[in-house]
Amino acid sequence: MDAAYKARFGMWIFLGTEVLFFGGLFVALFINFYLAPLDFREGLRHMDVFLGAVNTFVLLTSSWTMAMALHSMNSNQPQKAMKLMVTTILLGLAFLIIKGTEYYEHGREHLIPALDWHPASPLPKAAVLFFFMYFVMTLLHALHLSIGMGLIGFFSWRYSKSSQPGHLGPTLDNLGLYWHFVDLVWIFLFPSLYLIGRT
Amino acid sequence: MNSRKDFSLRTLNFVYLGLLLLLGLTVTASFFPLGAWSLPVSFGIAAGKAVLVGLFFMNLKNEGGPLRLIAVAALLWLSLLLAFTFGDYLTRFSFGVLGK
Repeated sequence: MDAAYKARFGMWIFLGTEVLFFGGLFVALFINFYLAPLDFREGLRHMDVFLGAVNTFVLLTSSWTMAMALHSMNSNQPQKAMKLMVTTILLGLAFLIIKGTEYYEHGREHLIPALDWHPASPLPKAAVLFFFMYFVMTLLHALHLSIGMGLIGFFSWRYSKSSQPGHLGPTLDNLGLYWHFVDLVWIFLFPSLYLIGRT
Repeated sequence: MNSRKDFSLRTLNFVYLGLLLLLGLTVTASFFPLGAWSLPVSFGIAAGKAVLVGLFFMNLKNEGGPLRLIAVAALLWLSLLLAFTFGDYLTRFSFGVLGK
C-alpha cells in the first residue's frame, strides 16, 4: 500500500463520519417536516428556488473544475491545475456571496429564529423550526465550504511558492474528495430546503 | 494500488453535463404539483447526482474494495439511522399505548 492510497483511506473514513454528522441533521429536519408538514411548507415557500438552483449550479461547476484540476496535475500540467484550483475557490466564494444575499433577505423578512423573529409574523408557529434547521444546516455547510476553500488556497499557495515543487498528488486527491463531499451535502440540502412540497 | 486509473477529460465533461441535466430536471419537476411524489422524485434525482459525483469525481469507480466498503458502510449506518428513527416516529401514533 502506498502513501497516496493510505491518505485516501483516511480521508474516506473521515468522510464516513461526516455523512453521519450531516445525516443526523437531515433526520432531524425530516422528522420536523413529518410532524408539522403544513408549517414547514409555509417556511419553505419563503425560499428563493432560483437562487438555490444557481447555487447548486455554482457548486456542481466547482466540483467539475476541481476534478479537472486533479486531472491536470496527474497529466503533468501544474500551471493549468493551479488555475483550476483558483477557479474552484472563486466559485466557492460566489456560492457564499449568493448564500449571503439569501440570508440578507431572510433578515429583512425577520425570519431569523431567536435573533430576529418578528413577533407579529404571519407564519405558523412551527415555521420557526424550519428556519432554525435551515440556518443550522446551511451555516454548517458554509463552514465546511470555507474550510475547503482555505485548504485549497493554502496548498496551492504553498505549492506555487515552493522552490522544489514536490508532488502535490496525494494532498490534492484528498482536497478533491473533501470538496466533492461538500458538494454532495448541498446536492441533498437543495431539494430538502427548497423543493420538496413546494407546490 | 496507486495505479488507479484517472478518467479522461471527456468523461469528466460528460459527467458535468449529466449533473447539469439532472439539476434542470429537478428544478423543472418542482414546478409541477407532484404531491406525495415530490419527495421521491427530488431525492431520486439527488441520488442520481450523488452517484455521478461519487463514481466519477470521487473516483470510486476505479478504487479498490476497501475504499468502496467505507463509502457503502457510511451509507449503511445512515440508512440504519433513518430506518430506526422513522420506524419510531411513523408508528408512534398508530397504536394505542398499553395501560393508557
